[in-house]
Amino acid sequence: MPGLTRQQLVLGVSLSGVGSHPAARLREDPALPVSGRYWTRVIAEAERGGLELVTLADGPSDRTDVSATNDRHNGNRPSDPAADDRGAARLPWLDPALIACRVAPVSVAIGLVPEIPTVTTEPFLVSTQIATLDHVSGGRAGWSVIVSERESDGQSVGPRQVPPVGDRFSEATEYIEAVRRLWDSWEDDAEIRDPTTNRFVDRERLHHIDFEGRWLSVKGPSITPRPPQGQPIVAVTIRDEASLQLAAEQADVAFVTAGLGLLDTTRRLGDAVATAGRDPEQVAVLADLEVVLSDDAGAAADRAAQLDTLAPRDESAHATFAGTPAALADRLIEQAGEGVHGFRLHPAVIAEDLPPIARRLADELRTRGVRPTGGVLAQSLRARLGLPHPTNRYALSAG
Amino acid sequence: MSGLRQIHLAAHFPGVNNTTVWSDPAGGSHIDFSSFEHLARIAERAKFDFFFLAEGLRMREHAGRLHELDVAGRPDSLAILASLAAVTERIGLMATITTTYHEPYELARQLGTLDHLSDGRAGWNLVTSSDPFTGANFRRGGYLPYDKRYERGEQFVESVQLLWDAWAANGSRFAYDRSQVQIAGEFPLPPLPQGRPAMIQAGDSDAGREFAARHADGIFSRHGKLEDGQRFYADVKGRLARYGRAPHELAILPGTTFILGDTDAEAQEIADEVRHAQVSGPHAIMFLEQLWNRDLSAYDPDGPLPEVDPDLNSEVRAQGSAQARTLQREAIETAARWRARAEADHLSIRELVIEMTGRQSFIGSPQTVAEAIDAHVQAEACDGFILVPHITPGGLDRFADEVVPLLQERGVFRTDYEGPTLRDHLGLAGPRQAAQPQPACAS
Repeated sequence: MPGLTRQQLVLGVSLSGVGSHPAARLREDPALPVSGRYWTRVIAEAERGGLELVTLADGPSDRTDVSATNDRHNGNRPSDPAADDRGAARLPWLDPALIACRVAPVSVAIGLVPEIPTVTTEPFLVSTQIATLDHVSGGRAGWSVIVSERESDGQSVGPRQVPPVGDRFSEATEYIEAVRRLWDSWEDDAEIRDPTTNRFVDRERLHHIDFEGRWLSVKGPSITPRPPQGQPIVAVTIRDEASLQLAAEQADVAFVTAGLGLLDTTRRLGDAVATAGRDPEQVAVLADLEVVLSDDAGAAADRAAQLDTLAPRDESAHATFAGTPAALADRLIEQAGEGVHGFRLHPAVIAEDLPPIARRLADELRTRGVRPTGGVLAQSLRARLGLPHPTNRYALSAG
Repeated sequence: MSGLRQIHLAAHFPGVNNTTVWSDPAGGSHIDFSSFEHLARIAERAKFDFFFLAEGLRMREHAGRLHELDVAGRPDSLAILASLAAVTERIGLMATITTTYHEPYELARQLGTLDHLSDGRAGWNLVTSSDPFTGANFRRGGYLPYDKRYERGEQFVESVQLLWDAWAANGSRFAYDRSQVQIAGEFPLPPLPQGRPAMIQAGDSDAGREFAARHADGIFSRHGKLEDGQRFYADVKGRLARYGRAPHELAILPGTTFILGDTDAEAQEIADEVRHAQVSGPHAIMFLEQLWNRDLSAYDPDGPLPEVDPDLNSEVRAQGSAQARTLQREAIETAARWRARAEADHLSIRELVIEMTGRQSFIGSPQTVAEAIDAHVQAEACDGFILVPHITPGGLDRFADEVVPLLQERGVFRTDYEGPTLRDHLGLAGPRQAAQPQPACAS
C-alpha cells in the first residue's frame, strides 16, 4: 500500500477566510480571500509542508441563522445594515469548490477538499464538479459534506421546499449515495473509440443509477467520465449522533474534535462503521485542532488571549492549542493514541499560523519519525491517506 | 483605427455531437484538462474574445438506449473554467447555463466567484430548457411546462442581477419573490469586477429575441448565412431601442464551422473527408431514425431511402438532442424533400444525410476564409463568430496561426486586448445596469 504507514500521522489544514478564529478578520483584511492570487499563495504555503490535504470552508464558522430577522413571508424589507450587527454575515466569501478548481492546475500534490452543502445544492451538479476537480488535479479531489442546520438556508432556493432541520441528515445520506453512484456510472473503460463499429462509448459500460429516495431522485448516468480516484474522498465532520451515523455510513474521512472524549468518539465511530457493514480501517479519522503558534510559548499564549479578547470564541468550536511548534508536535503524537490517523489543524490567523505549520511543525514531526521524509510523490489523495482504489459497483455485474 | 467594423471571435470547445471527429488520429481527450488548456491558450494567443463551453445535463439517448456513436462525457463547465482562469490571463471564460435546472443563488455565487477568480473574465450563455428527460437528473424533475420557461428565465436573470447588486445596494441582503423564484437571505460576494458578467443568449423564437434585446450582451445565433443573417441582425438590433439600448450593446455571434486548406480546392477535398467521418453508416441510419421516428436498423446505409413515411404518433426516439427536436417538427415535409433529392441525384442514405445536414460554413484557403468572415461582418450579417473546431484540442491551431493575422492585416481584428475584462473585449461599456426598473423586488 502506498501512502502513509499507520505509524505516521496524516496532516491537513482547514482554510477559512483569513483564519478560523473570529478575530482573524480584525487582524487581516477580510477581503483578501476574494482573489485567485490569495488562494494560490496560501495553497503553495500548505504544499510546502507536504500536507495531505486542505479543506476550504463554505463560510465563517460563526455564521448565524438569519431567518428570524429576514423573513420574506412577512414581507419585511431588509433592515438597514448599519443598524444591526450581523457579524459574520457580511464577510466576503467565494465559492470553495471553484477556489479548489482555481488552484488545482497550480498545485502539485495536495488534496483539495471544498466544503459543499447538501440542502441547497443539486447532487448531479456537485458530483460533476467534484469529478471535474478530480480530473483537473490528477486525483486530488474531495468533498467535505456540510449539512446545514440553519433554518434560513432553505430561503435561498425557493419556491423549492427544503427538508425540515430534523430530516437533513436523512437527506444527506441519500444525497451522498446518489453522488457516489454517479461517480461509478461510467466504468473506467467506457470510452472505447472503436473504429470498426464507429462507437465512441460502450453503453454496456455506462449505467443509469436510478436512485429514488425519500428526498430526491436522480436518473443518471453522469455526464462526466469516472474520476481518476474512482470515488473522490467524502469527508464528514462529527458533532453529534446524527453526523456520526452519517460518517459511519458514507465517509472516507471523518473529522472529530481533538478535545475531551476523543477516544470515546473514535471508539463509537469505529463501532458504527462496523455496524454499517464497512471496514473501520477504510475510514481515516482526523482530529480538529485550532492552533496559535509562535517560537516563543509565552508569545503564543499572549496572542491567543488577544484574539479571544477581540472576539470571544464559541465554546462549542474546535479544541485549541497555543504554543510552540515543538510542543504541538508532542501533543499530536500523544493524542494520536486516541484512535486517530492524523489531524486537521485550523490556523487561527492564516498569515501568522499557516507558515509555522508548513515549516516548523512539519519539520518537528519528520524529526520524530511520524511524517514521510523526502519529496512527495504525485499520487492520488486516496493513496496518500492509505485508502484503497475502490471497485466500481456497476462493473461487478460484468465480471 | 479604421472605419471598418471590428470582428468578435470566440472559441467553442468541440461539442458532444457528430461535428466533432473523434476518429481522426489527431483527436485527443475530451476530459483531460490539457485539452481545455490547449484550446484556451491558442484562442488567447489569437486575442479571441472568449472561450465557450456548451452544456448538456443528461447523456443523449436514442430509442431508449444511450447513444454510442459520438463523443460523450464532459466536465462541469464552471469548474473547468475556474481551472482555466489559472492558466490564462485575458481571454473571457463563458459557460452555457440553463435557467431551468440551475438555481439563481448558486449560479450567482459560482459565476460571481469565477468573475473574481479570473479578474473579470466570466460570462454566461443563458439557455432555457423544459424537457423532463434532463429533469430526471434534478430534484424538481420535469417541473416546468414549455410556456413557463421564459417566465423563469426572466425571473432568473432579474434575481441573479439583484444578488450581484446586493452588496452595494443592501449590505449583502436580498429578497426576491415572484412566481418562479422566491429567495431571500445574504449574498456573500462583494461587487464583481465586471459588475455583471457578460451574458449572451441562444433563443431564436420571438420571445427569445425579445428576451435578448432586453437582457443580453450578445446572441449565440444559428443564422450564419449572409442573407438570413442580415434579416436576423436587422430584426434583433431593431428591438434594442425599445429598451433604451444602442446597436453595439448586443453582439450577434453565429456558431460556425470551418475547413482550411492550402488552396480552396484542397479545402473542399478535406471538407468532404470530414463530412464522411462525421456521418458514418450507423450515423446516417440514426439521423434517418430521428426524422422518420421509426426503427430503421434493418436498412443499408449505402442503399436507398425507406418507402414508409415518418411515424408522427409515437414518442420521440431521440432524447437530449436539439437537432432531433428540430427535425421532428416538420417531419413529413422534410422527408418528402429528402426523398426528392435522393431520387434526383441517386443518393444512398448515407450520401443523402451527408448532403442534407451540417455542411461546414467556411471552406477554403486562409485568404478565402478571412475574406468571407470579414464580408459577413461588414455586411451586417453578424458581429463575429463563435468558431466550432471539429478536432479536439488542435482544431483551432491553424485558424489562429493563418486566418487571424489576415484579419488583423485587414484592420478588422484586434492585435492585442484593449482591456482586462470580457465586457471590454465585447466592446461593452462598464457594468450595465438593469434595462428597466425591477418591478417586483422587495427591496
